[in-house]
Amino acid sequence: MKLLTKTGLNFISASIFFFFIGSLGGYYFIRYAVNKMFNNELLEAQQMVEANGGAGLSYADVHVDTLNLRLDTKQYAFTDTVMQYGADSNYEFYRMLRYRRPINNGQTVQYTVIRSTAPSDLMVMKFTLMLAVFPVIFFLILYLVNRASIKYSLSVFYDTISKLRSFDVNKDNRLDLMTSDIDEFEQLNEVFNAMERKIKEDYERLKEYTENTSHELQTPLAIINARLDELIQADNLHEEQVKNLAGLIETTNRLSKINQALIFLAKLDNRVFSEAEELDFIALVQKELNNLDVLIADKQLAVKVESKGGLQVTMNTSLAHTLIQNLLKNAIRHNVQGGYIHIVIEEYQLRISNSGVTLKHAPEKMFSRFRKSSQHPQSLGIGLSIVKRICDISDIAISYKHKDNEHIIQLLFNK
Amino acid sequence: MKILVVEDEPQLAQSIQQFISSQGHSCELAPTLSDALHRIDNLFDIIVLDLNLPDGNGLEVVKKVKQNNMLTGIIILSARNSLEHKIEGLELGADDYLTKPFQMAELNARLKSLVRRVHFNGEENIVFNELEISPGQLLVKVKGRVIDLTKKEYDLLVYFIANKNRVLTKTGIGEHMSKDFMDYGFTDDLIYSHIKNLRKKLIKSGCADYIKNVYGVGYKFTDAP
Repeated sequence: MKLLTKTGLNFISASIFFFFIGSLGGYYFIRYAVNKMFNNELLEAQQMVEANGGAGLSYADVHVDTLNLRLDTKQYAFTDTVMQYGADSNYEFYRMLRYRRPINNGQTVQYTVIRSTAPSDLMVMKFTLMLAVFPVIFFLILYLVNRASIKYSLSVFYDTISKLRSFDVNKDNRLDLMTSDIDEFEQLNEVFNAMERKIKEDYERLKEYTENTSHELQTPLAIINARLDELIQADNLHEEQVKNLAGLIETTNRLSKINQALIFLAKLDNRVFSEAEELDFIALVQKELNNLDVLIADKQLAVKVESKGGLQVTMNTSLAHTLIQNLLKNAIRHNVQGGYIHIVIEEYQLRISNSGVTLKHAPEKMFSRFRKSSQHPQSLGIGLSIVKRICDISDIAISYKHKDNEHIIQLLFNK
Repeated sequence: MKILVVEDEPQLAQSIQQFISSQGHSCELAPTLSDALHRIDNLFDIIVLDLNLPDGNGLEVVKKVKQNNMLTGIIILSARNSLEHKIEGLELGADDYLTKPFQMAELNARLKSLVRRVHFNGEENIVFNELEISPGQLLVKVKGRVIDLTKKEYDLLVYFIANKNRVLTKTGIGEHMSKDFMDYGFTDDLIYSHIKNLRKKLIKSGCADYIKNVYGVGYKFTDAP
């Protein structure tokens, strides 16, 4: 729930509650004041009747009765009552005073004073209505003003959020958060700005470290290679020794390949490959297929290239070659004997589908580093992660899906 | 042939020296840049040059060789596998560029092809029994008859002959065949296919089967039984 919605809802529900209580209180207070006024008027009328027989009394009706009732003191009571004058007329509300006063011979005189409350009821209604409507309007205005003001103050906050969301440690751009006249947001942005600098610095250092380490490993690897090569040339080796040496050579080779791949990834991250030119992907795919034709023939794969439209893309040549080469090698390596590779090239789109065995791991993990299937000890499991990085920095959307025994990799180029 | 190896890492320098000596060439070592600059003269046929030296950049050696118009060939060894370094070295006048870690067999093949280029303008034929290769025209003849090889098969044959009588690892062959900048992962099965095809063509044209399989390691090109 948005902050604005939340505070708005709180405001509205609190206002409705207090408003309801306030209006109710107002209604009863008015009612009480009006009754008080009526009571005074009724008493006044009674006194006028007692004094001069009710001359000049216009606002109330007074009945005087004599009751056979013994009373010690005066008594009076105010009540609300409903009466009907004439058979056809409506019931009306009246305020009534019943005043009893003992007279000498053990009898009591009773004054019944009534006065219609109809005009004042209308008044009370109007007052109550006013009490309800004006605050509603008042609160509504208050709410809208408040909302606009909060929204304006929060704009910096939303800007920060959207910039943080699009933050990519790999990209060159700075975070550049807006400045705000609100201290809290200003502090928050300062913290984020500092954090961004720190993250970038650390990341740079880490990349530098990886690259330097990888480069430093090259010379020791060269020495191991050279020594192993000398050893294997000896004529007097047992079969067992040859086997051990072969294992060592294989392992050293793996090590150097991993190292080279890591260096390449570091280079990708450092944007060494920034020069771009316009490339024809149909020609590129054909060229890479030619390079791999022996491998394709060896697995007896049927390769079909279908071009439904030209695909001209501006990107780095060596990256494009590596991308296509890795994808094709992958399609060949994970294929079955006598399988197929089907390449479809469309405008802004390249799709490679190949036959193969069912995937053992989750397709989402396809592009993570060192993910590999156990049947291919030769593969390092780093090829597709290189593919992913190349796609990332070249603005290509890559997706993978598999259906039964068919694996499809699709590249969507930015228009 | 006289070769100067400029390399600061003693173990690697020693390995290279041993290897070059075993091939019947004379080899001298220079562990620092100043030492190398001091010693180069026209008598060296080839300089094998590491770029990262403790007292400076190995490219100085290339500059000096070119300034003095020496006929010396230069092969650069570098731990930095970057295109810019490579281009810079080759533009200055180095003849070849090899990235560490490299295979001795690869260095050997490069050395031999460089000697041919420097001394014979690449015109000298390579002869091995009934096989004759003309590197200038990329031609291969068996008993005087030309046989038709693909570019990769031709490369492979030249590499084998340059390293005859040596065990060549699958890795080394793979690296030799993947000359492209980022072409790592030349698979064993691909090497196997190429070698199978080359062998078939050679035997068909009446050549003896010189390519021997060394179990678990790789191959050996030899006429020894």
